[in-house]
Amino acid sequence: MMQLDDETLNAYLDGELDPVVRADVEAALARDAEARARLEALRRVSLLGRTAVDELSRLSVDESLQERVWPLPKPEPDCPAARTGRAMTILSGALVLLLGMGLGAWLFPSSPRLAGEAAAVATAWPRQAAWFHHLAAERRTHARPLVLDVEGSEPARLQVELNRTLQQRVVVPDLSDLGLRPLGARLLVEQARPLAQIFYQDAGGNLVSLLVALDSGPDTRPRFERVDDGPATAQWRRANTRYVLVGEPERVRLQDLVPVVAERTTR
Amino acid sequence: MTDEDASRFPAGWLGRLRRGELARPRGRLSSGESRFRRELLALLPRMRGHALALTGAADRADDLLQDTCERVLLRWRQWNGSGSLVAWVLRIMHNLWYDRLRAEAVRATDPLPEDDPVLADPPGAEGHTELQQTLAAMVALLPEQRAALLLVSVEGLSYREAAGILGVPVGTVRSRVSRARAALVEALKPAVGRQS
Repeated sequence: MMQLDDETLNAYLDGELDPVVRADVEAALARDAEARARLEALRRVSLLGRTAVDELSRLSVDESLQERVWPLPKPEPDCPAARTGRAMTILSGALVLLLGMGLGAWLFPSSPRLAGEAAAVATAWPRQAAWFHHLAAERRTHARPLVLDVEGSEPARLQVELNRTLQQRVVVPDLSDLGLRPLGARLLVEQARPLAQIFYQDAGGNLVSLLVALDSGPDTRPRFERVDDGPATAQWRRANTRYVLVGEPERVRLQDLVPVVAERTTR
Repeated sequence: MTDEDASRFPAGWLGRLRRGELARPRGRLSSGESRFRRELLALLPRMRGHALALTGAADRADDLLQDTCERVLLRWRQWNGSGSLVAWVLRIMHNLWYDRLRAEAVRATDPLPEDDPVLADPPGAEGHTELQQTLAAMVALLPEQRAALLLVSVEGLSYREAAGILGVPVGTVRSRVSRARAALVEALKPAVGRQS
C-alpha cells in the first residue's frame, strides 16, 4: 500500500505528480481517512496563506516608486510662451499636413488615417488618462476589483460627486445604448487640478474611460493619439473642460464613440 | 528636497534618492522599454505583497521592492519577453533578499514585529484574526521555507520554477514546501480544525 507522507500529499496538492502516481495517491486517499484529513489541512493553510498575501497586495504602492517605474510627464505649462510654442508647433504640423496629405485630410482631422499619423505624438493629457486607464485595466486583468470613489450603480451620486469635484456641471454621459455600462469614477487631484475619470464596461468586459478636467481655453476638435503602443485616446476641449476618452484600440473604436460622448457630456 | 518631501519616503529611500542612484529613464522611452515599464508597474502591488510576506516588515519590504525595481529597470533588456515576467522579477527579488540575509546574518526565525502596523493589521483583515495569525505564522517560518512556500503556494509556480529562482534542486523545494505547510498547520491548528 502506498505511503501518503506529507511530501507526497503536498506534491499532489501542487499538481506536481505524474498521472500514474497521482492515480495511486487518489486510490490511497480513498482508503485513508486520516490522510484525507491531513490533505484538507494542508489545502486549508495553503488557501489561508494565499489569501493573506493577497490582502497585503491590496496595499497601495508608494506613488514615487510608480512614477519612477513609469514616469508621467508633467502637464504642459499654461503660459504665453508655451502657448506660442505650441501654436508654432501646431502651425508647422498643419503646414506639413497640408503639403503632405492635402487639404481634404486637414479638414477632417479625426479621420482614421490622420489618427494613425498623429499616434506618435502623445501629449500630457492623453498620457495621464492612459496611465490611469492602464492601472484600472491591469487590476481587471489580475482579477482585482477596480478602485473607485463612486460606484456606477449610484448614477445620481456619481453625477453629484463629479460636479462637486470639478466645481462645474459636467454631465456623466449615458452610453447604455452603445452597450457601455458605467462602473464608477475616480475623483482625483493632479498637480492641484481636480479631475475625474469615469469608467465604463462593454458586454465583453472591455474598459472604456473618460477623463474630465477643468482646462480653460478655446474649444478644440477631437484629436486621436495612441500612447506608447498602449491605449488609444481621443482628447478634446469644450466649454473650458478637457475630455480624454481612452480604450484598447483592438477592442474599442473610439472614432465611433467620440461624437456621441462629446454631444452627451454637454447636454 | 525639503523635509516635508523627505517624510514622504520610507526609511532607506532618501539616501538613494539624494545620491541619484535610482534608475531613471533618460529622454523619451523606446516603445519596448515603455511596454516593459507598464507591465512592471502593474506588478508592483503583487510584488509589494510578496516582499511584505517575505521580509516580515514594511520598511524592509519597501527597501527590497525599491532595490528590486532598480535592478529590474537596469537589466530590463536581459528579459527575453517570452517567459514569465513575474518569475524573472521574483528571481531578482529573492536573490537580493538572500544577499541581504547573508549580509545581516539574519538566520533562524525572523519574527513578525508586533508593532509593525502593516503586517499586524493588513487591509481587509480587520477583525480577521485568522489572516493576521496566518501572516504571523508565515513570517515565523525559516526564511528558506517561507521563500519556497511563497513561490509555490502563493505565486503558483511549479517546483521546477521555484527551484530555478531559489537556486536549489527540485527535491529541496519539495521538502521546504512540505515542512513549511506542516509548520503552518501546527501553528494554525484552531483555524484549520474549524474548517475541517
